[in-house]
Amino acid sequence: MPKGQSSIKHRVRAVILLVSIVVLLITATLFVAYEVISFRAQLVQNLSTLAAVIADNIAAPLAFNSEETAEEILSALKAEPDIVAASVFDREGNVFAKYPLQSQTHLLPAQLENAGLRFTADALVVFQPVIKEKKSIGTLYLRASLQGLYGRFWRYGAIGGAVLIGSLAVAFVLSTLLQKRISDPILALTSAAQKVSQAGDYSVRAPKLTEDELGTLTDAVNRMLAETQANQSRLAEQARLLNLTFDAILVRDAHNRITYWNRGAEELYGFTQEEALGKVSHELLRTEFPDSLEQIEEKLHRDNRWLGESVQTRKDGGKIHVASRWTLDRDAQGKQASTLEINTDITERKAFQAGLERLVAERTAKLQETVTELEAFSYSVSHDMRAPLRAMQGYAKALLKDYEDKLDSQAAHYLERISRASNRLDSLIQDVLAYSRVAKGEITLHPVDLERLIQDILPNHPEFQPPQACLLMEKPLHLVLGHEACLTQCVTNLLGNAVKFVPSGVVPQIRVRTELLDGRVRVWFEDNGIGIDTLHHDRIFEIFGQVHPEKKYGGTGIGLAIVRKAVQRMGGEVGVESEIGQGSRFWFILNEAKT
Amino acid sequence: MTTKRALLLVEDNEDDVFLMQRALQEAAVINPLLVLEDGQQALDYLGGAGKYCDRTEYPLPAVVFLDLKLPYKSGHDVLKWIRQQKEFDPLVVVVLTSSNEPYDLSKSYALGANSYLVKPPTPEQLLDLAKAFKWYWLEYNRFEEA
Repeated sequence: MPKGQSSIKHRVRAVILLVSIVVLLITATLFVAYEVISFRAQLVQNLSTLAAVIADNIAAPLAFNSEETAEEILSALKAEPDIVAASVFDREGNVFAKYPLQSQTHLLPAQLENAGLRFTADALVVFQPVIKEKKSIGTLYLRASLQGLYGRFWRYGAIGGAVLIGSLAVAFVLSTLLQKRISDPILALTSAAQKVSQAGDYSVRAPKLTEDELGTLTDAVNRMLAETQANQSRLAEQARLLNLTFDAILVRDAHNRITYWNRGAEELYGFTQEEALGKVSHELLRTEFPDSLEQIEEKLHRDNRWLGESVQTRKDGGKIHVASRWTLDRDAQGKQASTLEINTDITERKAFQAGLERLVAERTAKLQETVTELEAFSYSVSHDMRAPLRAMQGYAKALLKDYEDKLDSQAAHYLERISRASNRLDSLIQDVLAYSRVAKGEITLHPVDLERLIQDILPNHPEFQPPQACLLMEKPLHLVLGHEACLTQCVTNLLGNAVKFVPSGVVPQIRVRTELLDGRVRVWFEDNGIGIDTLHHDRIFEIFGQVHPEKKYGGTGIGLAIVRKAVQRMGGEVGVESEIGQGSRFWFILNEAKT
Repeated sequence: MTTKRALLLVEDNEDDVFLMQRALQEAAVINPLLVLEDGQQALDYLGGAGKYCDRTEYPLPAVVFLDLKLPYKSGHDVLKWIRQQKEFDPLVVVVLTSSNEPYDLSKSYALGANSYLVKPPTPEQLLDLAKAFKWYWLEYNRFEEA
């Protein structure tokens, strides 16, 4: 900008010159005025003195009416070149003598005027009374030309002008030299600023030419440039890193128009930055949102963020699945300023997932088929197996009864053993069936009154009642949330164990009580049986986890497994506290049923 | 008022037939016991098809003991057919099966069974059952006269 450059230079120079001119003019004017005033004062002084002296000298000739003497005295005025005319008036006001003799009449006053000095246009005149013996005998008139004054005035003016011109010339040269000290640093700053703004090159620094405020300003500008350069390189680094990511990163304004589009977005969608900027993102990408855009935007404005999966279309028409993360950026007023959107290509993952889901579905179907077959198999096996068992028992008993007198005691004993073995196999089958019913049957939870449930069980089980056993319920028993059939099975099995595993000759005593545990109920079944070694406490709940000899106490080894499975299905836990010879305290915990 | 009318046992397992006959005999049930081995036979008999049209030789029973697992037609099929026939409304159908499955039980009642008995595992229990049956169904229960 040469115009700007010359402008600052010229302005600085003009300021300096203007100041010089004004100062010089004021100085010269004051000087000339002073000279004129002091010259005039001197002129007045001189003329007064001269007038007094001449008036004194001329008194005698005037008194004696000696015209010649008077003119002689007046002619002495030749020594005073300024005095251009003089005259003496007598008492009557007639001219008595004059100087010079051929004096032009226009230089002399037409008539006598009052005593005193006064300036006229081109002269200083004085009327001086001529005093003789304290009486005015006439008047002296002197006229001093102001030529000298004017001449001096013009001389001073010329000198002043010359000085002014000379000074201005010097000031011009000096200002040309001095303005560089001001304008050069500014011009340097300007040129640095131009380079930054035109080339965007923040590495430019302005040279520091002075140590004054401009130097400070240059330092400050350079510091700002350094900071901007650091920020810019940081930004550039961040932008470079943003471009490194595989994710598509875009920024949208409040109208969903794209304002930023990273390299990841270019690669993912195939649209270049130029093609994408300014476009409405979901129109460009033909986005299929999981919800309506209105719902998504509502959520975005509520939570400041939205996560979801969308289907989008690439430039080449290919559909891709993306995991989308939106973050709302608000301005100082809290309004939507822009939205940052990061999209990750999950097309492969989706395909893989779909494949997996298909595989899972296929396998589940196969598994279901197998389970169904197994169920049919176990159903059929258990029922078909029970029929021959019944036959074995039936025929054994029939033999015993019908051929009682033909069988010896050994044969009768063998038949008893056949009958007992088939009996046991039947119990096993029944328990296995019960276990599978509990394990896979449908479970619905309802409030169950354990007191009533136990009362209902008792009539079918004389072995739980006196005189065979003594069952004590510590009432009230709290209501539990359970499945009636499952609970019946559990309670029957636990009571069955309590009466089964007792030392011979001891009447089983069972105490049933409940304990509230913060919204849950623990149901205790405490017996006076043989107890269980703590070593076995985990094993007894497993299928066929029986720890006591079957021959001595009977049992299939499935009862507690059924209890555990049933309690688990009802959302509870089961456990035991017991030691050998100390009886057992079985418990299960279920949710409390609120009445 | 004791009925003398016939009882029909539909059971394919001859051992169970033997045990049932023996239990009823021991329980002193004197009603004639007719035995059929599969579901189709039961339908033919009750429907009077073929040789079964002669009701003097093949009388309509007062009670049917019906097994569920039967050849050709299952017990449920037979039960369903019986309850579709208006004239068999008074016929008492007692399901006698080895199944204790909730599905079999609820379906039997849904199809109109009068009673559901699980075959007891021992002859002693079967005898108890036969006695209870006789006492309730044959001595106290009132039937429409055929």
